[in-house]
Amino acid sequence: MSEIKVDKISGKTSANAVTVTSEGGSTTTNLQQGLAKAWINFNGTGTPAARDSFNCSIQTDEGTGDYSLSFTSAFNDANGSFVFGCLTNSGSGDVRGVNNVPPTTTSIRIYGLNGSQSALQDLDYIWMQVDGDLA
Amino acid sequence: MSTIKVTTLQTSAGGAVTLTKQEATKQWISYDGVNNAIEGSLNVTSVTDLATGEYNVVLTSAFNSAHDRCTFATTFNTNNDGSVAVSGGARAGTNAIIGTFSDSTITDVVTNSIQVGTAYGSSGSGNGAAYDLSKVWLTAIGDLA
Repeated sequence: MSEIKVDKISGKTSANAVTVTSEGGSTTTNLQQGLAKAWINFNGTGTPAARDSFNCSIQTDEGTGDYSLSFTSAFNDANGSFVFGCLTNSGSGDVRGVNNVPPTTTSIRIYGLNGSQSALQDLDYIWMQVDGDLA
Repeated sequence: MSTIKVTTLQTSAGGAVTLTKQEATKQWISYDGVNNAIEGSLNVTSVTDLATGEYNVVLTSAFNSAHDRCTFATTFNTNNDGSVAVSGGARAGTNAIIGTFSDSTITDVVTNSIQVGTAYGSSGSGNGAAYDLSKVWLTAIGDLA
C-alpha cells in the first residue's frame, strides 16, 4: 500500500476542487463538497451539553426542546443539507428545524418534540450533520 | 506545514483512495418544495415534482447499490420560509419519507435517484397529509458506482 503523509491537500487547478475516484471506479466525486462540514451529538436535557462535535456548538438553550446551534466556520450560504436524528429515554421523540427561524450561514435553531409532535420536549440524544459549502 | 496540490486522488491501482477510516457524503441537497427549486446540492442533476409533497431526486452519479447506503431526510416546517407552520399554526411536525407513498405504495429504491415524500402529521382535530415544504434536506452516504 502506498501512503502519503501530508497536512493539507489543495486542488491544483482550483484550490477548492479535489476529485476522488468512486468506489466502483466508474465516476468521480468532489472531495470538498462531500465532506461533512459540521456535526454534533448533544444531550438536550437539563443544561444542553455536547458529547462530541465538529464545527458546531450549542449557542443557546432557548427553552424546553428549543436549541440554537452555531457554527465556528461559517457556511458560504444557508443552502446546505441539515439532517437530524434523536433518541429519548422517555417515550418517543422527533427533531426538526424551527418554524420561523430559517438556518443562516452561522447558526440553526431546532426543536425537540414529543412523539406525537404536539409539544416541545427535551431529548436525551440529538444528532445533526450539515453538508454544504463553507465560506 | 506540507501541502499537496492535486486535481484527482486515486489509489496506485486507479481505485478509490482511502480517507483513513472516514467516508465522504456522496449526495446532499437543500430543496425548496414550494417553488420547486434546488437551493444547493452535490451530485444532483434535477428534481422532479411528482405530486404534492412527492419528489424524485435524480442523481448525476449513481450509487453502486440501491440498498447499501445510508439516506437521511428532514424538513423545515413552513411553506413560506416564515412563521406559519403547515398544520394550522400548531406544532404538529413534519416528516420526510424515503420512497413515495402515492397510491399507498412505497416505490422500490434504485441506484440513480431517490424518491422522498414530505407530509405533516395528524392531530386531535385533523388528519395528516402530504404537503410541499420550504426546505427538504436530503443526504446520502454509500459507495458510488
